[in-house]
Parts: sequence; structure tokens; C-alpha cells
Amino acid sequence: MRASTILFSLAAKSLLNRRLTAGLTVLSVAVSVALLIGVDRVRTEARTSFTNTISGADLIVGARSGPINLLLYSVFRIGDATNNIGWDSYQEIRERPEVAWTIPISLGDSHRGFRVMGTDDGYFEHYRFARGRALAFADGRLFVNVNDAVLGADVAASLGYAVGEAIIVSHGIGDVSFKDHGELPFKVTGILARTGTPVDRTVHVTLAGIEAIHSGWATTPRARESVVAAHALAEELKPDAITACIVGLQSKLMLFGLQRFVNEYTAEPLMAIVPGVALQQLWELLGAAEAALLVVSILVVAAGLVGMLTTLLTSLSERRREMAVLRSMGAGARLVFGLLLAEAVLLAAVAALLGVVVVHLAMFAARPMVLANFGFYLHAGLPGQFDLIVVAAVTGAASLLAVVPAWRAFRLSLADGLTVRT
Amino acid sequence: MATPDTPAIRLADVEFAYAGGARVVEIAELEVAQGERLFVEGPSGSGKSTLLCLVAGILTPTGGTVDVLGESVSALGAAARDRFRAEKIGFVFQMFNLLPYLSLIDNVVLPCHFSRARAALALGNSGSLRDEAVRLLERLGLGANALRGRRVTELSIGQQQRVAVARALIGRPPLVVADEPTSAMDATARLAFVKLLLEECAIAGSTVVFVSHDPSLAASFERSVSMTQINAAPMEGVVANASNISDA
Ligand SMILES: Nc1ncnc2c1ncn2[C@@H]1O[C@H](COP(=O)(O)OP(=O)(O)OP(=O)(O)O)[C@@H](O)[C@H]1O
Ligand SMILES: [Mg+2]
Repeated sequence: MRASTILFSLAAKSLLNRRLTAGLTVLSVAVSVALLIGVDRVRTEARTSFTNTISGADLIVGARSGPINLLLYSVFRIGDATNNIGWDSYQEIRERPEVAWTIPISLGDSHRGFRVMGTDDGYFEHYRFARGRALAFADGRLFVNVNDAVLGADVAASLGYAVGEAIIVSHGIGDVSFKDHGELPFKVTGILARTGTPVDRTVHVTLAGIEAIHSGWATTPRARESVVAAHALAEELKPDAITACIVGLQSKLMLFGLQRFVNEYTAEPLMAIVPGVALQQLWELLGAAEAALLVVSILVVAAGLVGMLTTLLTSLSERRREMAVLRSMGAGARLVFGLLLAEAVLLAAVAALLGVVVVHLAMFAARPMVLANFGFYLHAGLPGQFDLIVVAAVTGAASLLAVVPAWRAFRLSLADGLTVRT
Repeated sequence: MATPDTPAIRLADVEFAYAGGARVVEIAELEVAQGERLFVEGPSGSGKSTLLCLVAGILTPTGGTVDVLGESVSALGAAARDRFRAEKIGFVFQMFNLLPYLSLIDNVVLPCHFSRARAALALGNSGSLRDEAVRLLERLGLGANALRGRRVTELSIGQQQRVAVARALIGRPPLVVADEPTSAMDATARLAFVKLLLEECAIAGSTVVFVSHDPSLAASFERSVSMTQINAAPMEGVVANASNISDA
């Protein structure tokens, strides 16, 4: 049998024999590795996911607040708008010569924890995600009537809704809403294909529909007919305001011109942001926190490895006998050195691999929660390059650290010779 | 290299001191013939274990030469000494000879992983290393399947020592060295164990050096030497009446 084979086989059996301490060591290193990979994965996943959520939009217009805030509530459904855009201002922007299309966004209601968004056909025509992909219907069709609703994939899947279902929209956001708009039940006419963006968790209705439940129109005799095309009501149910709008331009060259127009708009305080720029600002804001988190998780890995070192060192005193026995059979002091090294490598490699498995399972399990609370998709993809680097680095660091106990074992076994000491 | 006339062990003017310590071994001459069974007695601290380490090439003498089976062990490099020990010498210690994390069989087979020659001899005897280990254990009265399935730490001291003998004998090393292997046993078990060890070594044709501070065992051996006679090093702190000393 080759020397390295016997080395690793002895190391593995010896570790199994001390499976409690070895197991706890593996666990602590594995948890630290999972933390490190998890932090990095969440960071990169958040970035790709956020970047993939909106594409092809030139500007986002909303009430004047912070650009990040506007981006978060209009596109990612995180947080709430502080103010609205007046309907007239929206019309004025829409009719600007630079503007190719707009998507109005009207937020503030919810259905069983999912946000309800009022919009128009432009949304289905112009909204792009994941580098230019358009929305597609998995089932049914676009909303037409004032009480039609189009569901995101997750809404339909988690509430078990199919086309034709009647749903009640509630005022306010959250599971426990203040007031149900029971007077006008909405009817599901379409379900969108999965996008991996917050669209999946949104209930889409017409702007007229939103207005209908807020203006009291829903209690009028006309509403009882229920199936009234939203277009026919465009004037009757004209909203006073919308939350925000997404704007596509005729040409990118006009971007700064329109942005200036909006920012200097005098009738009400508005703001236009470039989604990419706002995202960049968000990353800069989060950058320091991310770096701090990464440093902390690297330190936790270091602590885990030092714990392993301690375990190996303390095991030495009770294993001097074992070393002497091995020496008597012709094992060189170098084999004793190698044995300790092999144990460290085994412990670290098993721990790091376990950490990788744990973190990917955890991300898979946490996916719905993350999407619901933070508006992005965690892809529980296969382990990537970073995971490999971490496994290699942890194993490498462990074998470097293990030189300490290995050297000690080497010295001890040379000094002890065959004298079997305890 | 070693003809039948070559002594199994020859020490000439051997001196040894542990690093920074006084001389603990000083042996002008000691010769053991091949196939001979030598009993070495002496009080605690008289240098018995040190002598065995010199023979096994764990320690190198500060002066003089140690030849084992025609090879000048004291002149070999560290790696060569380790290899030589793996090939030629079977060891039995006082107690705790076995690795607690290996099975009975794996413990017995272990020396074959360090020596090709012994592995080849063991395979020549039985079909596999495992079979040879079982055969040896059976000869030593540890044939029962139930016994073999047990963890080595669950065996009695006497049983553990017999497993250690099986391990020392696998692959028929020409020299078997035992350092107080009976000191944890009672008087009757001791005699039975020594008898068994010598029988098995005779079958394997191995030379035996058996160290003990219990002179009553000397009768079973062809020849007996006392450390107090052959070791000229000053023995400080050696307790003359060794029988009062319980083993540490
Ligand atoms: N590793 C060591 N380092 C320094 N001195 C040692 C070492 N091992 C033994 N000695 C010393 O060398 C001398 C001989 O010890 P040795 O172990 O050879 O005696 P022994 O005859 O085997 O004793 P015992 O019957 O107790 O096993 C003693 O004085 C001992 O203190
Ligand atoms: Mg001794």
C-alpha cells in the first residue's frame, strides 16, 4: 500500500474513533464556511437579481425623495412611497416628445400579503427584465375590464389561484389589512410566466380598477354590472395621482434632457432617476457593509480553524502512545508528521464541503422568504468558482496551521522513541 | 547479506546519552546469535528500553556500533533505519500496543503496510493479509469470531498482548523484541504468555530479545543477561530491588 494511502486511511480511522470532538470541529468550521459563502452568495445574487429586475427602462419618475428610495418602492416593492405624482403631471411627461412609452405604477393596496399594482397595457408591452425579456402569460390574457386582475407566478402558485378566481383587494400593505374592498371583487384573467423578479409576487389591475375601489365608484349601480371595460371608464375613473412611472425614451441621447425637465418641474416636486445609476448608488451604499460582513465571516472561518488547531494539539498528549506504536512498526517521524497533517486536511476538507452543501440547501430553503422580504431571487445554483476557492483556501489554511501540531508530534515522537508514554 | 553465522545482534563499545543527559548505556560487547532467545533483566532505569531503541534504530549510539543481522544500523540514515525496523523487527510493548481506532485484524496487518517484504511473506503463508492475521490470532487462542469483532479496547490486557504478538510475528520478522510485555499480567498468565510467545517465535524462526525486570521469567530462555553486569554506565537513581516497583 502506498504511503499516502495508509496515511489517509489511518487519519480517517483515527478521526472516526474521536468522532465526537472531530464532528464538533467539523461542524464549527462548516458553519463558518457556510456563513462566508452565504454572505458572498447573497451579495452577488442580490446584485444580479436587482440588475435583472429592470431592463430597457430609461427613467423612473416619482415624487421627490431619494433616488434609492424611489427605485426600491417603484421596482422592487420595498418600502412605500412618501408621495405621489399628480395625474396631470404624469400626462405632461407622457406627452413630451422625447418619450416613447410610459408605464404608470399605482401602489398602496394588497391581496393576502401580495402587493396590488395598478397599471395599464403599456406594462405588458414595454416592461423588460433579465436583459430584455418581455413579460409572457402562462395562462389567460391581459386585463380588459375594470375588475380584471393579472397575477404574478408566485401569487398564483402560493395561493393556488387559477384563471377565473375571484379575489378581494385590501387597502394597505401586509397580511392584516385595514380595510377590505369587498364591494368590487376582482376576477383573475391571466397568470404571468415566472420571471424571477418581484413581478412574480404582484397582483396587477387596471388604474381604473384601483380608482374604482377608492373613489366609491364600486358602490354605484354601474359597478354591479361588473364587466365594464376599463377603457370605457378611463375618463370616469381617472385617478388623481399615481405612485410612479417608468419611462422609455425615443433615444438615449434625450435622457439628460428629460431628466432635467422632470427634476426642474415646478408644479410639484418630482424626480427622475436612471435605474442603473440608482442601483450603482445602492451598491456603493451597501459596499461598506458588505465588506464588513465579508471580513467578519472570514474571521469566523479563522476562528473555526484555530478551534481545529486546538483540538489537534490537545489530542496529541493522549496520542503519544499511538505515535510510539507506529514508530515501532517502522513508521518514520515524518509519517507521524504527515498523519497530523492528513487529519487536518481531512477535517477541513470535509468541513468545507459540508459548509458548501449546507449553504446551498439553506439558500434553497430561504428563497421564498428572501423574495418576499427583500425582493430578490436567490438562485440555489450549483456550487460555483467561489465555493471551490473557499474549499481550497480553507483546506490550505488548515494544512498550514496543522504544521504546528504536526511539528510538535514529530518532535515528541523523536524524543519519546519507543518509550510508550501517556 | 546475513548468513546463518552472522549474529542477529552485535553491539561493540556502544555508548549512549540522551540529549543533555549523562551516559545511560555503555556496553562493551553484546552478541546474540540468530534464532537465540535472550532474556535481558535489570532494575528500572538500568537502560533496558534504551538498549532496545538502539537495536531498533530508534536511537543512534553516541559511540560504538550496533549491527543487526549484518547491517550496521548505527551507520544508517534516519529513513533507512525506519525501513530497516519495518522489515526486520517485530515489537511488543508493555501494554497498550494496539491502535484503538483499528479493528483487531487491521492492527495485526498494520506492519505489512510499512514493509513489502513482510507483506510478501504473509501473503506467501495465507491467501490474503487478513487470512494470515486470522491464522495468527487463531494460533494465539483468539480465533473466536466474537472476539475478533470486538473493539481492541474491550479486550483484556492478556488478550491485547496476544494480539500484539500476532502483529509482531506477521510476515515473520527475523527479530522479535519485547519490552516488558508481561508486566501487566499476573504470575500464571505471565508464564503462559512467555511460553506462547517463544513457541510462535520458534515456528517463525525469529530471534527473540525479551526485556523484563522480573528475573523469574529467565528460566524460559536459552540465555539471560543482566543490565547491571553488561551496562557499565553509572546508574543514578536506579532502585536495586526492582520487585518493589509497580509498573508506571
Ligand atoms: N526520552 C528520554 N530522555 C531522557 N532521558 C531518558 C529518556 N528515556 C529514558 N531516559 C533515562 O535513561 C535511563 C534509562 O532509561 P530506560 O527507560 O532505558 O530504563 P529501563 O531499564 O527501560 O527502565 P524501566 O524498567 O523502568 O522501563 C533512565 O535514567 C531514564 O531516566
Ligand atoms: Mg523500559
